[in-house]
Amino acid sequence: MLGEVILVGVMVGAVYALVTVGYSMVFGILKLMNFAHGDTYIFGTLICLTLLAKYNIHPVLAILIAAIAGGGLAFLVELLVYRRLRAPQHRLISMITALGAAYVVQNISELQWGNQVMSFPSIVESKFVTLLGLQVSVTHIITLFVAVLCIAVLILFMRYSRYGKAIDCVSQDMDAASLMGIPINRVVSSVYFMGGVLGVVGGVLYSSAYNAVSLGMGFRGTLIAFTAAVIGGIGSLGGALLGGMILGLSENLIGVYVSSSYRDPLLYSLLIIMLLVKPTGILGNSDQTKV
Amino acid sequence: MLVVEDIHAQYGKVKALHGVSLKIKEGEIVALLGANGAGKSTFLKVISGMLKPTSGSVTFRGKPLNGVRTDRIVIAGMAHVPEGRRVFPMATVMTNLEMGAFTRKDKAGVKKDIERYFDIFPVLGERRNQRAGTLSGGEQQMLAIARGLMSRPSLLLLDEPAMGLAPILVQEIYNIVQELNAAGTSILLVEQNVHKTLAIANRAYVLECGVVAINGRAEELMKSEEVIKCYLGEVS
Repeated sequence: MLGEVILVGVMVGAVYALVTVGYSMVFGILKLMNFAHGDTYIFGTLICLTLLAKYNIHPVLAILIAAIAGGGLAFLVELLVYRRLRAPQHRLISMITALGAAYVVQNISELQWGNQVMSFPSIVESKFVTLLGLQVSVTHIITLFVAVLCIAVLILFMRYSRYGKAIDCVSQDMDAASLMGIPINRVVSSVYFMGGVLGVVGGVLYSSAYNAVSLGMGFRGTLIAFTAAVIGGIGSLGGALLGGMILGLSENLIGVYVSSSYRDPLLYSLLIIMLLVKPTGILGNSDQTKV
Repeated sequence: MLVVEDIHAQYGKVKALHGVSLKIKEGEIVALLGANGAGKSTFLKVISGMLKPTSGSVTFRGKPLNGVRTDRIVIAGMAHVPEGRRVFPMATVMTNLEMGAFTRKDKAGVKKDIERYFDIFPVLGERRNQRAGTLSGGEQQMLAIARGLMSRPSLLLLDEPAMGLAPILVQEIYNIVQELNAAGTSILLVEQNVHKTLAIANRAYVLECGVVAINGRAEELMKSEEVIKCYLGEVS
């Protein structure tokens, strides 16, 4: 039993990490809490639902289209809403604007899909296999695998590609980066796009693993990403992974061994404790979070 | 090479420049002198496109730069080594240098240049895999200059490269500036250290509260009574 709970926790954790990575990268580069993150990727997830349920498109293609749509929406939100408020003195205003953007995106989705919980088809046939003496669902294994793969690709890209290094430098010092000839607007746009894409992949994996999706998951997704990012160290890639993992695991352990109604209160207590004890997060350093 | 005409600029409501004009000819070292707050760094920011002037024009190699983005200006051949070094603290020395060459496509040439700067600044070579934030101030300054040169600029803007450095390093930095210039790079050197700067510059401008108070050939300024009285008094 404990083994299965931990495995599901790791799966959920990997998906949370995927969602958090996008959120945290965006924070790292603009120091902006992107409240629209969750609603943006739920928009993409719902597009995937329509493609799968209504048009019967192959799951891989459906996820790809949905991810691009979600990435495109994130790109648009940055371009239309955040770009003009990028200067440090506008930080509070841009935060409020981000809340506004979240509601606009949420309401657009609501017009199209309504606000009830919808069933989400399983992308792979749900079978159970016995692995190392544990009863595990194939869906969970594939979910875990895809999430880990996406994160690994992202880490390799950030570490070794010229563009990835440039993104990192823009988040360290935007003015100095522009003096290197790095096109700041293009870099910021691409980070938003990537954050949206990874978020949609996370959203689809999660919805497919639980066979459900709803608009409410958008705001909850933003909160989860925020909490995981703060716990792990906001702006840091490794921190997003660690934070996502801690949340996914503790959520499942609490849900099973305590009570699912204590899940959210305990999670957000964790957030408050973290902010009080080590506001930079486990892997964060003060340099990255300084304003 | 660079023609700047009647630049006015401000931060919010605070006016920093009131009509500054300056020219740099191919191959020159031009010094921009003045006390703290005279507007020197602001002026450089206007030239490299980081700050939009309220009026006035900048022309670089015959092309107007008004409204041109900083990254385009770098591609056009200008590099700005900003005040306070501004290396990327969490990135390695190597990555900092690679980023300096972001606009270049010739990988082999970039590698060669990096090795060249490791020869000129051996300490950077020894610390190539170290995070730039862990370097000493002088080492960071060398890194900032080398990083600025990685784009192979034809005009280099240097904002107080000697600030906070030990005298022996200051001399080293000045020698390097002269060598770079001899190799064909035009230089706009912003400094507070009037004496040393005039010794290597062809011409100089003195900024005072956002306007050019004096300008002329460096050797003439060194003899000018006004300059000696106001700026060189305690040095000699």
